[in-house]
Amino acid sequence: METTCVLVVEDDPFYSKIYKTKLAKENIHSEIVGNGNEAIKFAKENKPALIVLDLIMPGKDGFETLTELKADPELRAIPVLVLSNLSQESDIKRVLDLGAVEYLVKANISIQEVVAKVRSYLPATQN
Amino acid sequence: MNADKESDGKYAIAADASGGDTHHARFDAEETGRDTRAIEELRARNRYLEDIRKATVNILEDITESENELRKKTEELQKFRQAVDLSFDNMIITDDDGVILYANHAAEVMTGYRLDEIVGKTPALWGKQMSKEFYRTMWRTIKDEKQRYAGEVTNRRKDGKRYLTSVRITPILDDTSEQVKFFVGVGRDITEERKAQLQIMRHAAELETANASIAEQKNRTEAILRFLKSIGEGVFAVDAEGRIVFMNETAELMSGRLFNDVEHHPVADVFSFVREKQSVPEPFPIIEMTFSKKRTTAFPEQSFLVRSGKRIPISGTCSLIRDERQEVIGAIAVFQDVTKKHELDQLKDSFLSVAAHQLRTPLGSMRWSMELLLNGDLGELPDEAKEVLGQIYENSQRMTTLVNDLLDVSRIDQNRGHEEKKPVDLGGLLMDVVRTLSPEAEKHAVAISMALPSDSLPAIMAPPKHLYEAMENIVSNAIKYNRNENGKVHIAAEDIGRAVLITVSDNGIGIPKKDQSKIFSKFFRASNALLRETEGSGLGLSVVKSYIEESGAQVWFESEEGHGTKFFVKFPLVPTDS
Repeated sequence: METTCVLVVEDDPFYSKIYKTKLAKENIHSEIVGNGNEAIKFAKENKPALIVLDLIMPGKDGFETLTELKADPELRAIPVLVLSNLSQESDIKRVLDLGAVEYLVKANISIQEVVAKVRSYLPATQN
Repeated sequence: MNADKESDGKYAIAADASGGDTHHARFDAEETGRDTRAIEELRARNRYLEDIRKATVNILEDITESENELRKKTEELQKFRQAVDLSFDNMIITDDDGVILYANHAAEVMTGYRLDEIVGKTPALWGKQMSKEFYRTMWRTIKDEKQRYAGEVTNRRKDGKRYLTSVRITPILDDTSEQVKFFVGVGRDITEERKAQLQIMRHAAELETANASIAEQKNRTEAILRFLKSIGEGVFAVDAEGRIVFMNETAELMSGRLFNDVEHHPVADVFSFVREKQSVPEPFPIIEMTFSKKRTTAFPEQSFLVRSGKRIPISGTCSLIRDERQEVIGAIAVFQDVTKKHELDQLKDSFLSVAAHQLRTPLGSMRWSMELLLNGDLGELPDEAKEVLGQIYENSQRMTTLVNDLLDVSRIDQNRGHEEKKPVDLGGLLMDVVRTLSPEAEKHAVAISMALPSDSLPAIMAPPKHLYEAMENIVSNAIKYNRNENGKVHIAAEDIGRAVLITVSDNGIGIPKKDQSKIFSKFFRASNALLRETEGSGLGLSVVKSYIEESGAQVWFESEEGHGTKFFVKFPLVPTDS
């Protein structure tokens, strides 16, 4: 069951709550953590099927977290979907270069589209 | 001969020798004897004869002497005359009324008159070229004041040619020094001399002027060089072979090389420029490019001067230097350090980035929350509540669009919204646009039709996302600003040879004439569009234009208010350099 779990890394309580509510509603098993350190800890222990990663966070931010995830041979294979409100091209390029599968701007995408994206990275059994 | 002149001993003889002999003889005959008297008489006669002989000899001697003297004088005069005749200077002798008595050969040559034509005339024969006052003054000087005259006079030759003479006239006075007997005029044709003098003077003046203008030019050149030297921008120039011929102080500072050390060195040894394209630096030999393109070349964005591994961000241009025949004789480059501007740009970038993030964060969570509510994820809402929420949702979406538009515009202003060009399938792109916009078309009750050529369109090179956004914007406008009933939008694409032309036509509200020139300006919305759709930032078409032009294409439109608008986008098929 661990492999179908989605790890959402999001510090903003509003977004956290929405992710939680919506993913539960969509029957997608998820775990929400508020910073990078927690995310890496959880990833190591649980090997989620997908990581949804925010970028601007207190403490270890999304860039650092992504770097660490991709540097870890055990975690490297987990797809990372970046969902942030940053939209500068250099940021997008940096994130994709670091190994994220996709970059989405939160405000420019509906929650339904987020769910569809998340599903597309999960094994077919969950769909 | 005056024999009475006792003082004149030479000719003195006994004055009464012939008349007084009677007196002597009588005295002697009375005092002495007759013989004695006869002897005495004879002696006296002898003495008398002797005296006469002596006097005669004297006279003969005198005559001989005079003859000698005369001969000598004549010879001298002959020589003098010869000299005068052969004299280079002309010489004329007149009587006291100016009637010519004599003229030498030079005078004939100068005046062009023969001697027989001259003698008996006055110098007026060739004169009369000066003012009356002039001759009056001259005449007063030589005749009344009996002074010498010297001056320059213009005369006229027999053949009519004028000439300038330098003359000196000397009055020759009689023994009493009271009366002028002759005038002797000596002159010389100084026409050529004067011409030469004038020529020399003119040359001298010209030389002076030339010197002055050379000095002035030198000053000016030096001033320009000084300006260039001290100008804040880096300036350097090369000759046609690309060798350094000038560098100012700023260029020296920025390159770290001194002009004196690198004069005539190939420019590539001194200045190394690179530009960064998609974060990859590549050499940008602006001098060579300017020479090969034969026109002014500007450093593109993200250009740098490389100096011992360090990169200085620069901007500037390079232009050809041509001589007066328009031949290229070199090139001059002007550039400036834009480090400060870069820093400022980066600050602005990060500010914009942060501002957009901060604005989007609440907008995004509001959006998602409202979507949960509208979707019934948190329980069904009463219809009335749903309606109100729907309005709130739309408004928040508008806010999001505004933030995105503002960000897009500021990116474009920095020329940084650059997207790499890729081959784009225009037909596919247009179909995607239509698919995305069909809900909106439905909402506005506008029918969309599309005409694509049966053969696939030639692939064009364009930044795909930007082109998509631009086309979406044009089609979206055609839908939004359409009529309330029977609205139509037609999209066509065709290969018109060397170019692909896309037309998006509608039968909507059109763009008023007065607004047409401003339609691509930032924050501008046509007056009728404002009435029609209160939303919209007025940024759409300015972004469209930037994106289309970034693709190397052109965009324009035709429109009639109340009848519709036709937008044209033309992509050249010849690959163009960006």
